[in-house]
Amino acid sequence: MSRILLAGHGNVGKAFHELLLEEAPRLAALLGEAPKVVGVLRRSGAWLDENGVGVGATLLSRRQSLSVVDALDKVRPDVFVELTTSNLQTGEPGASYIRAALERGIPVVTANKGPLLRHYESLTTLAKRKGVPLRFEGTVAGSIPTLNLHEFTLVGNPVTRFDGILNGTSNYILTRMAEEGLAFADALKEAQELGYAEADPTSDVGGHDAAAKLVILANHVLGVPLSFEDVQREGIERISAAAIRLAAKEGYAIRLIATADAATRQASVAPRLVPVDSSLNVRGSLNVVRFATAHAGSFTISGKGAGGRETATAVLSDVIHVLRGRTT
Amino acid sequence: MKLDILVELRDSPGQLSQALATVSRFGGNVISVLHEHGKRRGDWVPVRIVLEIPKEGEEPLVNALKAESRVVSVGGASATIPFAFLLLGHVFESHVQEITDAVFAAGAEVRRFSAEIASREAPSAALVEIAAGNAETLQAARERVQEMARAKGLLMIEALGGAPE
Repeated sequence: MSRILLAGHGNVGKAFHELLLEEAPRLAALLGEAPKVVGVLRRSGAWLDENGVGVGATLLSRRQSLSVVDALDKVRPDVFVELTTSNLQTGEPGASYIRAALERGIPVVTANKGPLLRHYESLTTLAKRKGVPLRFEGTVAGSIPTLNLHEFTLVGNPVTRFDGILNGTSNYILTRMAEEGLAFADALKEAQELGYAEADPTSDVGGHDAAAKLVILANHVLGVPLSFEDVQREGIERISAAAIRLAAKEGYAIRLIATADAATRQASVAPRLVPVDSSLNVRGSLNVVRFATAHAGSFTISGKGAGGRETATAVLSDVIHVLRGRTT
Repeated sequence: MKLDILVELRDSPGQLSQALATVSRFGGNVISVLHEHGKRRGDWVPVRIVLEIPKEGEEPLVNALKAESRVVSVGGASATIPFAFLLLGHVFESHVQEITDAVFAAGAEVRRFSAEIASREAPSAALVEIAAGNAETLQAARERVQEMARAKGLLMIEALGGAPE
């Protein structure tokens, strides 16, 4: 049986819901039956249907008033997909929802950074104690495999260090500054107008978002118990077009790079000079991660980091892993 | 990697060919030999050997040479470790020369210095490439620059090193 309770129906939640329906035939072949969303929980209410809640249900049909905890008890899903809005300061209410599901022996898949940023240790320990899967590939770099790549494919070859571009918005801004010689303020304004940056862009341009992803990656991939406060953080607000021009003349691009090293335990998010022909020099809103491994040198993976649909693919992969019976 | 080794050999027949044979034994390929007879000290003649050797051969070779002769120094232009950084802010008002002087004082060298001055009001940028003979010296120079940049309110953008591509 593959009954999903979905909390959060925003950008990623809705995209996941749609993706699940689109992929139904392939998933049925893969898993024996296609997983179904039997409950959708939003701040405004709950929609339950054992025959499957439609994507448009939250607009079209009546809602119930049901708390997340009560919904977990009532529905007892096979997977709880937690995609509520991320609060980087506290990790709530997502962390409480995840805890409640794990306590009830219900597997959890999430793309919510806040809970894993603030409560990595306690949540992963709880999941292990209960023998219940807690998967969160979607919290880091959207569609680019990082956590799962490390856990499955690189299990024979430990990662000792990584460097990467984990925030597409700031990378887009730096790219536009380089292409057109724009000042930071003008490039930011352009990004906001195009919907690439928020009205309050601090999390992106200040490096907070990249630092949050760095912390999750460092804990999970390097096994280093870093917290947000351990990351030396400098954003891109001070970068000027003149600096970018000078760097380019000498063969460098300026990129906001997140770095962590297992041996030294140093972690930082800061603008760096990256040689123009480096595999880390990706343009626009792309993300990239270079892993240095213990036994086989480095390799680099790049692609679309953010976006509802992109992140939803990571969530779906995790759901499939759970339903296929991987116990971690 | 290239090594530039200064040894002192006893001034007797066969010493030089023995040293060169040692180099070959550890996988080194001799590029040049400078036998500085004019600079002898008593029975010891300085000989400068520039060679190419795989990285893992360096340590065993140097140890073997130390056992056979006097090794005065190991280093050379290509063995220096480079590092680049960009300083951004009111670079010239804050006396960037103090920073380059500090690099020299720490035992490193300034290899390249280029600058871009936008206008009187806007921050200017300076890109500096330094090099040091060993990791410790480089780290000392780097930390000194970080301190000074912080004190002068300059943003320091360091080149990304780490794992090779």
